[in-house]
Amino acid sequence: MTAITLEHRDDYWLARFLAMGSPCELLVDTGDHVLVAKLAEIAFSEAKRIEQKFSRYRDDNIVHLMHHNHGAPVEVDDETAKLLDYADLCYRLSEGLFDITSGVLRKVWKFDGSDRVPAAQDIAALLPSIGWSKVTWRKPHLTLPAGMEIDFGGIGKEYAVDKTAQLLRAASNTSMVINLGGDLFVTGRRANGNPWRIGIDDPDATGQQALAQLTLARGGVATSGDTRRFLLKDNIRYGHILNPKTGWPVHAAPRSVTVAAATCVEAGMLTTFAMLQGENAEKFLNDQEVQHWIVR
Amino acid sequence: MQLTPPRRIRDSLTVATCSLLSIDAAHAGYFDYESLWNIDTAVLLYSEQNRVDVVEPVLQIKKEIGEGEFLTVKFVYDAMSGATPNGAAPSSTSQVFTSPSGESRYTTAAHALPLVAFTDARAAVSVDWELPLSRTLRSQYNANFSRETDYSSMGASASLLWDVNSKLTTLTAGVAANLDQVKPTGGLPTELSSVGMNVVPVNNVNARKIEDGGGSSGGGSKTKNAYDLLVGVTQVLTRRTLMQLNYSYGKSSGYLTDPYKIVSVVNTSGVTQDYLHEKRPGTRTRNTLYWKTVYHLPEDVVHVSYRYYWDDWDIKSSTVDLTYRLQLGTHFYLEPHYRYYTQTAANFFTHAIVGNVPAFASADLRLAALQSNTLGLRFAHQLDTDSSWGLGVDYMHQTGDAHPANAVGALKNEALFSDLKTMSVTADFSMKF
Repeated sequence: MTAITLEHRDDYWLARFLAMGSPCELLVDTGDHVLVAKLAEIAFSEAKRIEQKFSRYRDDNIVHLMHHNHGAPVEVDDETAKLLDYADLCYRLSEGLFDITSGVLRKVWKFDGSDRVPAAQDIAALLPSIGWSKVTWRKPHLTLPAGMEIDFGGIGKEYAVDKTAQLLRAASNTSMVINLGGDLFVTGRRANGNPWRIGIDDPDATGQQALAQLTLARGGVATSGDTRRFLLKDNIRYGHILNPKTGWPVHAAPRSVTVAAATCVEAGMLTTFAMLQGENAEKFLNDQEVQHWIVR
Repeated sequence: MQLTPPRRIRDSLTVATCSLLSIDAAHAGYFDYESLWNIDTAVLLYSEQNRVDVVEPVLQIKKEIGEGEFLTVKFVYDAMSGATPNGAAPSSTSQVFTSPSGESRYTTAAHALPLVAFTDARAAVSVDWELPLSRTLRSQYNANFSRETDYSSMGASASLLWDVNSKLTTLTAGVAANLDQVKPTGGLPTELSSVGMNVVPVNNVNARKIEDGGGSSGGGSKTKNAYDLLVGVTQVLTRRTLMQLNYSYGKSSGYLTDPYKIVSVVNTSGVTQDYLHEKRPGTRTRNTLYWKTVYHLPEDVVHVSYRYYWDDWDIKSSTVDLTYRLQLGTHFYLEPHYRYYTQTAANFFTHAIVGNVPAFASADLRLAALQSNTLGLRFAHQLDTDSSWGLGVDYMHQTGDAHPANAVGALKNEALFSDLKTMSVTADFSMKF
């Protein structure tokens, strides 16, 4: 049994399920609930598949193998190789700010709203275990120095959105919105010719107040930022976006960034890049000429 | 520490993303999207009781040809036959008329509304092009052409739709132009001249002049043109409510007369003395205000609209329209519909001319004060995600004043306005592939 619920809304069907630790939704522009059930099953299975394959918390997947191979090369499958290629390019495009080896910083930074800012020496002690340049990636072999970790968390959800959307499109021509925890993709204009209207949440009032309404006929939308994840000490606010080079939060990062682009992966990467730019986030996104919303 | 931001990385990111997702980079903007053909077909059967019958097949093809860019081509064919009022008033004696072609005569019985038989066919094609200009600005263009035996029409329009206020508000502005040519069967009559006196034959050198004499009409065809300007605003009021307000201004000029309509000339006793070809003013300035609200209930949808129209012929009309879409499960809906329409008469409308011939005169009952009630019901069935069909029936009852206070003499005893009842049935089928 899967935990998918179906609801008929005004003029579409809504399927809900939990995956990747987030509430997920599938909106289908149809009156056919049998089709909706079928599509929801496809979305749920694909999201679960990607979650299980790239989760850091399992001991039966490729990520676990990478982390426990004691510095020896691991041969990876084609899908993992593509994600590593992508992460490699993003590392270079961001001049080292986007780094999938920075996840180990979580060991000292717990963004729980408290004032427990880690000690500088504890942060410094982790820096030798961070740095994509220390990893040897020769497709299909990845060699990770012992003690380092790979974290696909910065791409995984958006990647799952786009992969799920591809499967859904292959299964039906119906217009759909697939939303995995706030990152989403719209497959096409609705049958009546209208685009979907997507509300962008105000990060201070999630689910209650829309910051803006976006009409989207096709493409991806991703949001970066979580205003509940921070530390506050001596009146200094420490946001959860960390600079992998220093181990400290990025200075003057926006509270939230939303981008609409051709794919959810691209939108997601642009929001992450913008966050990492700190006070230059606006300038960065303006230079990219993408539709975006920034909350300071 | 602050790095200078990398400038334009988006193109590299797009290419890499396409590779990650195994998408053809050339179609990055489309993301694995295949554009569908949308085909809509319909047949309309329209029937006026004891008058005109129309059969109208429609075919519409729509295709997305670029990101948010749509091309629509529509073909309509009308086959019309039956009888329509010729304009003459009923009389206490039978009346004899010449057909528009001038080649035959027909008789209307005493006290009956004079009707003239006709058949015609009309073919029309229109092309719509919807082109997004930016994220918030869309443009729409239309070109259309239609032709029947004695009439041809061509038109073009363009409009801009601008989304503002986080797309909760859409502002619309549009312009349209039309050029029509009328080439009456049997020749172009001189306006306000006696019927049968001065018809200029066209297309047929053997056409028989019923009688010769009277003035000349100066040619076998006439044109009229029109332009229209529209401004509007559509506002999302709440998640469930959408409101639209439009104003349009238009002006027609040229030959606005109906070459087949005639007017009876009666003496003060109401006895017919003559029949004249009608004449309408050479310009008509039109204004329309339109308000519509769509309210979404959890399952059903309610549409309410009101239209107010006024022109410098002194016609003022109001239309109230109520539509309720009742969702019956997920595959069916039923849509009852009611419309009320009322209009005042044109200032040159008259059932018959008494005394001096005015500058303009028409007895076309469509220009009289009238009201109509329309009841409709539509049923639609979604067969699967890509196809649906529907069936709709509309019944209209139009009434007017059969015994106006200004009727003279014997005309007081005639029914000068006959109620009109029409029934139309539409069957449609839509599919995507």
